[in-house]
Amino acid sequence: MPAPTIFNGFLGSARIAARQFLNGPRKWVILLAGGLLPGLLALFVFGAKEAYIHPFLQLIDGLYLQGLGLFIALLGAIPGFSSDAEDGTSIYLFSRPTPRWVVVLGKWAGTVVPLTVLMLLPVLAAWPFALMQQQPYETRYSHLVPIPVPKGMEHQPGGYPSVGPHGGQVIILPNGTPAEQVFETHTENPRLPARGRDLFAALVGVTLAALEFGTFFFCIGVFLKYPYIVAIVYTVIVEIIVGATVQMRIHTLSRLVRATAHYCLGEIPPFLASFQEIAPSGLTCTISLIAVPAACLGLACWVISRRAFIGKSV
Amino acid sequence: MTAPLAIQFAGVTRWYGQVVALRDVTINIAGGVVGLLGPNGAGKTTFLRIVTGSMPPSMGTAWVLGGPSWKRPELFLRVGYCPDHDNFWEFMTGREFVEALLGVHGYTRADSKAMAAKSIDRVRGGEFADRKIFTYSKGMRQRLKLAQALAHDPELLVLDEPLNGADPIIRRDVIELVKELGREGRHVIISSHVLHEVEAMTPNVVLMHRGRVRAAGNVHDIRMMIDRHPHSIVMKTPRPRDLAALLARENDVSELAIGADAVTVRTPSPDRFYARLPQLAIEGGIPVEEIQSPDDNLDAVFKYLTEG
Repeated sequence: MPAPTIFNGFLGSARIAARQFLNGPRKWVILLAGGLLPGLLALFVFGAKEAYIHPFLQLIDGLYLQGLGLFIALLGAIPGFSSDAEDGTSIYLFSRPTPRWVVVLGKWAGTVVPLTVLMLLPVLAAWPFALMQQQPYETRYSHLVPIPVPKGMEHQPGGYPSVGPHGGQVIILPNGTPAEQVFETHTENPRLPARGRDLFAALVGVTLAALEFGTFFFCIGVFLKYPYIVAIVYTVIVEIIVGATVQMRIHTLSRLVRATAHYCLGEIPPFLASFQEIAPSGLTCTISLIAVPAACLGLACWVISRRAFIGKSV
Repeated sequence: MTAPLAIQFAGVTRWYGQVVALRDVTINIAGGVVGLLGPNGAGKTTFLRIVTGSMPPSMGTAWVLGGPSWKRPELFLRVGYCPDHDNFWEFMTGREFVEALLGVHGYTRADSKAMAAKSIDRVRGGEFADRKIFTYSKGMRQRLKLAQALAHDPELLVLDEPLNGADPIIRRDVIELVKELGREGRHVIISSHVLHEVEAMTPNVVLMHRGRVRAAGNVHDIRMMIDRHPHSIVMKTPRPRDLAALLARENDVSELAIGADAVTVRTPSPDRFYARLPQLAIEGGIPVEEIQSPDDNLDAVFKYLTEG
């Protein structure tokens, strides 16, 4: 008789959880709709006019991480421990020599790892399109304030250097009045050499967010049979009410996670810095990326290890 | 040095909120095949769940195979548990289900496959093991539960109502299997509310009623009392009228009632009736899908035992 090991028990638990997570056409529809559609929409609905940062990556931040995709995926797919306990299948898992906390970790891995992979797929799929559409220059449009026409030049139409904040020129029209004109300026796209790093930041950001959210919802599933009840409340409060206010929006977890990914790379891109206003500190990063999921998971292990599994019979 | 007792309960009480399921149970079970007998609500499942470490006692101590049952996962290297409910991961096949649980047990995939195949063969589940579980009948589900409990070759097997709802063939097979396990020197504790089922497997019984152990010992001492009370048997069949016509000719049937998809009989000699039933069903060509034995007769005996 071969000897069982705890590690094999962990893998066994993970395999069951992954099968539960990915089981059935309904779940695949939910996962694909929730996971891939927002990414594809981002590609085809929004063009790549701004080369500085690809709109898709902005949408990952704004729509994909915080929004519909992750929410729907989690809503439909995470199998809760409470529902296992309710229907009695958890008895099979826990009448094994593998310690309960290992079974919980296995179930967590079997749920969160496939979720993370699914979340990464659209980013990877979109990246070739982003590369194709990238621009070598950043285009900005400057709206010049009319300035006094230099003395003696009133009757000499032509272009003169502007003293406005954006440089450029003032065009003097033949009738002697300066034009209020929008200038188009091109600057070199500073992100161009750093495209690989952008992708890496996006992948890290998505991974961390999926781990954060996945662990969070996994732990809710330990306590509630229907974790999406909390998911709905969470989404309504955080994503709609809070998200409506930009200043509050910067505090949402996913934005913090994405900023943290850039922070770990030693840079905060201007588009994030302008929203973020402050760069996350080392302590914030630690809490966001390690302490919160670890605490959630530790709590789940502790609760399950102490829980008595009571069926319907006496 | 003597081998530890299979089960030792000392003053075990378990309550769920206001409901007391077990009351101050003290019992030593040395081993072998033991029937845990009692009407529904007697506390049998709670007893077995404490034995298998699914829950701790609220008071008292529960030891199994020489150690406490609660928070002792290594106990399951030696214990196999067949729960009373019929819930599975229905999207799996029976074989995948047993293999998956052996995986959680800690075996490699290759070992799990080999062990699952052996266990499925032992419960005669080879014919349906590769079908999805949601297509299974009640009897197939019972066999599958047994297969997962037996797969790791346990020393103590805990079976919670394994005959509940089983058809006559499964009933016969399970009874044979339990007797065989007993002959192999394993400990088997099997719960039921039907004396005749337990009696077919072992003479050793523990009687429970309203959360207390009322008696433990030889089954023959109580069957005399049981036989004074007519025994009800419900048989589920798609052809209830045909089955009723067949049963009406039997001397052992004292009363008969026909339902939409079941026939209920009352018999003063259940032993003979249970023995004759498989043959009757085969001769008449009438499928009997499930047999249920309501516990009213047993309850009456317990009332007799407890109230005089």
